[in-house]
Amino acid sequence: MLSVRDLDVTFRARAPVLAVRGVSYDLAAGEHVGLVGESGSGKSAGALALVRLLPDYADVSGRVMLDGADLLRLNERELRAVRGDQVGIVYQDPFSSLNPVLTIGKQLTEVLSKHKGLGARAARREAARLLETVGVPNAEERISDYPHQFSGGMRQRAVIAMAVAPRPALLIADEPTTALDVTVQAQILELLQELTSEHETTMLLITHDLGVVAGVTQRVMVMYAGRIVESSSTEDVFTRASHPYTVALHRSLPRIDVRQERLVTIEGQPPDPTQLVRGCPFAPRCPSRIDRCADEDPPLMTIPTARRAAARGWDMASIREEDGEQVPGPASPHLTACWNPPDPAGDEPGPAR
Amino acid sequence: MRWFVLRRLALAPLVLLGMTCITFFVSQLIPIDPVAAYLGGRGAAQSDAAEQAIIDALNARWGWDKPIPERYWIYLTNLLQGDMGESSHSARAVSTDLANVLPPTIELVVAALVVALVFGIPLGVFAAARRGGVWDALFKVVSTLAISVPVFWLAIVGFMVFYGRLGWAAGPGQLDIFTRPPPEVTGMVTVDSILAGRWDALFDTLHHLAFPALVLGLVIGFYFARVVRSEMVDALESDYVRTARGKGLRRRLVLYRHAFRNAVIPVITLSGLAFGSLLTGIIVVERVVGWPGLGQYAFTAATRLDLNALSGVVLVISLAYVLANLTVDLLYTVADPRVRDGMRS
Repeated sequence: MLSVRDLDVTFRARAPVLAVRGVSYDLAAGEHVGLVGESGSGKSAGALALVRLLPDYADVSGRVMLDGADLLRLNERELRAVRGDQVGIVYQDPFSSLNPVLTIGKQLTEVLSKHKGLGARAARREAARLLETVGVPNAEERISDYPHQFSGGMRQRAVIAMAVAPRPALLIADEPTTALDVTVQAQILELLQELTSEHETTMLLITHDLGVVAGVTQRVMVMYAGRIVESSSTEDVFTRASHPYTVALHRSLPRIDVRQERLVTIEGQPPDPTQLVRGCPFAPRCPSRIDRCADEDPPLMTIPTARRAAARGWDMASIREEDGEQVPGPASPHLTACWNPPDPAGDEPGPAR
Repeated sequence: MRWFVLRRLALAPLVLLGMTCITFFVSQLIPIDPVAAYLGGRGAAQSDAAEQAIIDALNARWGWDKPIPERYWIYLTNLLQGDMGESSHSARAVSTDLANVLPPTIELVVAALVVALVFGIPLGVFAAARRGGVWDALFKVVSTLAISVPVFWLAIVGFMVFYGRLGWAAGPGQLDIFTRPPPEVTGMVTVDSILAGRWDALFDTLHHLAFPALVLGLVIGFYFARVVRSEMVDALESDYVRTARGKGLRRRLVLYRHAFRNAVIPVITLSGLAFGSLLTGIIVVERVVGWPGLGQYAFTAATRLDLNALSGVVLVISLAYVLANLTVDLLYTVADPRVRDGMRS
């Protein structure tokens, strides 16, 4: 349904920022996929680039095929027909993503009149119904309210209503709960889950929080330094993480079942996106680093391939020929971009720790 | 809302009282004898006795021989009865003079504001929509020039070129000397012409109004345009504009409904400030094109040390300022729902 190939996003600056580097993946209709990574990993840039919503100083290349059309090659007019209609977006900060001087109703109805061709009165009725659906009480009255009269959670509900109003095929949720209170976060996630399941909407859920991904998605892609470093079913990511970065992310999650003196952190800093060095970008922070990590950036491959490649010293070219460099998709196996994937199950230890 | 307006209106007299205080005492600091300034050349009477009689009469009327606080009291009580004293240069009551010069100035100020808003705001939006491009660069150069050129230079050179050389602009005054003025109702020739159905007079006075209004409007308009541009650039980079674009809305809707509605809020505040430069502008421009308004009156009063007239002018300008700021605050509540709510509670 959505197929992204070799997506590059570079922010032009004195020192160009390589935010996204050669990202490819497929999403199937109705699938819920999480895109996880720390801030600066390129997950938001990569998602907003799909509909070219980045600022002017961002260069985007690659292919983004949505139902047969390459979104990166549409003209402005065609793109406008896709935005908001086929692709809905929920943004990170509901305090800044709503226009402060327009009523909630106005901001909702403009989507409906643009994409559904509804007249003023019909649009208003539909807007009230939508607000009701997303759980805004007294929707009929609150439709004339301005954003500042809404709480954070209510605003995000309104943003969600705008995103799902024309029943989009794809919903991009860019850190939809980050700016909200913890108690509200769960409600918002539940709402997203409910709305997308109801209409079989594909959802790309972007978050830095593994916990958010757990209950909502079927599949997870982990990003680090502008690349996808691991892709698997959500269950596998939690029980059999194969990339050292994902493993470290898990360790850094606070646990309630074990008494912890202090929280676990990942040593070191993410790489500087303005100057990427040779080899795996995670290597300097990686506990299972081997020699070749410093020289060759591992492609996304299946775990057996990664192990064999490391053990037999295959070079990059032969891996690509064999079964390496795979594209994450609905049916793809557990993939990892690591020359020495740790095995938490312990049945097959990596060559060197 | 209503309380807010009433509160602001109740404050206005206090502001004005403060202004009378300042103008009065400052004028006392100027080392001139009010009697001598009033009499001017007329002081040379036939005999000392006659001169003394005139001086005594004046002192009796204005209390110029009394101590300063008492004089201020006399000035204030007269003022409350609408008596601003007599202008020494026109030998008429200052209130009569002001009633004569205010309407032409109101015409000019309104026309200049219309010019400024009509071209300044769209120009700023245009430049912001093409920020970083050639048109934007050109806009920056031209607007910087327009703002840095002194108004008096622009008025004088412009008048020389467009009236003196090209003959496009109309000459001094509000009407050609051959045009019969419309019967006076409001004192504003444009309005009076319309009221009397005198279209010839209307076109003639609009022709006369065009040049000073364009000079003033151009300078303020470019100022508006620059403010609009910078506010629009901020708005266009905001998250809510990204949301609007993400909805697939047309460019014009994003620009005007989403970005401009927000960008216009600070512009309102700044137009209140621009009002000040407009008032200094009228003094110069009216002088250059011979527009019979408040600016020219103020200029004459200042150069002839006509203290009564000057105090009157300052008072009128202060009142205009108070009203302008009140208007700004009211517009603010219209433009920004957050302010509206803040005032309700």
